[in-house]
Amino acid sequence: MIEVKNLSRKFGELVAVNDISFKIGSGQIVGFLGPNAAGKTTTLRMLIGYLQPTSGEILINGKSIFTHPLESIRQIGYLPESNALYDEMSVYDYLRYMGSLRGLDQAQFETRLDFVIDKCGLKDVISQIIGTLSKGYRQRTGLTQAILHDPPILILDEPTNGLDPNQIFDIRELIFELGSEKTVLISSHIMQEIQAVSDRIMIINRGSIIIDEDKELLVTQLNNRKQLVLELEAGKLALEELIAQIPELEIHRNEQIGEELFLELSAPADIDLKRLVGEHARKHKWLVLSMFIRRHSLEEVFYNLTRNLQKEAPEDSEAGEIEPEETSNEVVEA
Amino acid sequence: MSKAFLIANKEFMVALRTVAIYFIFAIFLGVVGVIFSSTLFKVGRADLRSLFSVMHLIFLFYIPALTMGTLAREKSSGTFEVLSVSPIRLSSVVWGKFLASWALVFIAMALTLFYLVILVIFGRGIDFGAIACGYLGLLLIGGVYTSVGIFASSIQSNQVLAFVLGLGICALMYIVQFMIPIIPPQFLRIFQFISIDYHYQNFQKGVVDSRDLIYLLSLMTGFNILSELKLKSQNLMSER
Repeated sequence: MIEVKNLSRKFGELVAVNDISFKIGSGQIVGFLGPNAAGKTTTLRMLIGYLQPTSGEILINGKSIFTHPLESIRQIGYLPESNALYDEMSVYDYLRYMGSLRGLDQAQFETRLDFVIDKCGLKDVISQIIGTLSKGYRQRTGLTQAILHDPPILILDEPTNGLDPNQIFDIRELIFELGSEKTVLISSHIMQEIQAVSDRIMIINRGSIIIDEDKELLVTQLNNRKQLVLELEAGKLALEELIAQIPELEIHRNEQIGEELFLELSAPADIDLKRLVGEHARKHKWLVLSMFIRRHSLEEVFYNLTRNLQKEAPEDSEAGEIEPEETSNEVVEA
Repeated sequence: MSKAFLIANKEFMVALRTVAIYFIFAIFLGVVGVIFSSTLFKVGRADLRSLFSVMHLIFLFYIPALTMGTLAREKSSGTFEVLSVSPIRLSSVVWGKFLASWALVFIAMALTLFYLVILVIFGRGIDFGAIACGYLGLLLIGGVYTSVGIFASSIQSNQVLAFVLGLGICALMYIVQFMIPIIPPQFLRIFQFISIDYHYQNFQKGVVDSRDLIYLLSLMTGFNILSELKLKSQNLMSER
């Protein structure tokens, strides 16, 4: 169990992490999401005791990591963002070394090793020198190192960094499997990844946690408004008639390009917008070329949230640079 | 402390697996050999004094080169972060690195025993006691330079700068001996105390003085503690 109370970290003038608090119970997979330079890695580094916080408290299984550093670090497996490895060692030697630093004797190590290299798919490269490994195998070696001593808490900083889609899928499966009995904290700036594996989502931006919510709950909240996208040809739109019928209706786009008209409307989820607009179309003899409901993806929300916050406070923009991910809109019905 | 030996063992094994270390050994042995043969065959003196002083001089460059990467590389490559998820103390890291580097110094010195064998074959009236003391003293000086080099490595993340800094501190302790003749007598004691060579003189004469032993050992420990404090002040694993 991880408990964080009023944690802050400053780098000179820059506030990297600003007074965050959260609690993660066991058996939970928590996605730690944020744009680059939001404070994710800083937070995780503080959790493992690598970086000293400016203020605040961190408890691992109820014990402060500052008063019980060695005891609490035994509970944690960590994959750093940089995934730094000793390039001149072989995979086996590296894992043996890491195992012995964590107090595994030869017998314990051998049993664990069989299990973890099988799980992480390292069998083929076990005697290879780390410096000669591909990025994917390096990442897996890092992950193996993190789970080697079977820690109850796993902290993974961008674990699928640099992997191909198949490997990403494998790693996600593994995280999912581990998550059933362990506390897992995964950071990423990639939304789909977090959406795919985690039960709970924390979004951090500019050093503060702006969302900390159950994933399912978050997804439902996001979809409380439906958005209808239309492409049509019509003599008369008569939208005011539609607004009279649905007072909550919002028009996001109303644009004529050549002969065709593009409309984007939204209304609360409980209103059957499709049917109402359809009936309206029949009445006014629209020629509907396409019509579908666009559902909000988490990614879009993440993008909007982090970007809007940045617009509000543009004076120190170096703190949170956004890499806009392409917003993929799920087409639900056509 | 057992964790320090684990780290030392790993560092040592990794170092022996690199090609560079054998080049360094070869060069070391070569340079020492040239000096050795010139004193033995030209001057015809059957002792290792000149050999010791030249080894001492080579140590000034050899040891900072050996230690420059120890902590600097861990910090710049990020492996320190992984190390910090293991239940180890910073002192174990520093002492582990120290022991591994010192062992390499030991090996380099052991290789020069080859010249001692030549000396035994060709020389007469060899003072083995003085030679043993000379080796002991040089080994301790090597230890001091190793801890200085590691301290430099803890300050700098750049290996080249760590080398320059290590060389600078070691050279300072070395060249103080040349200033002794020109300084006012009231400061003599202080300069003698600082000068590493002054303490080494006794060893070369075949005298093991506990004051010199304590001096060298406390320098070693002192610099290792400084390295540990430096890492702590950088906020790396600072609670351990």
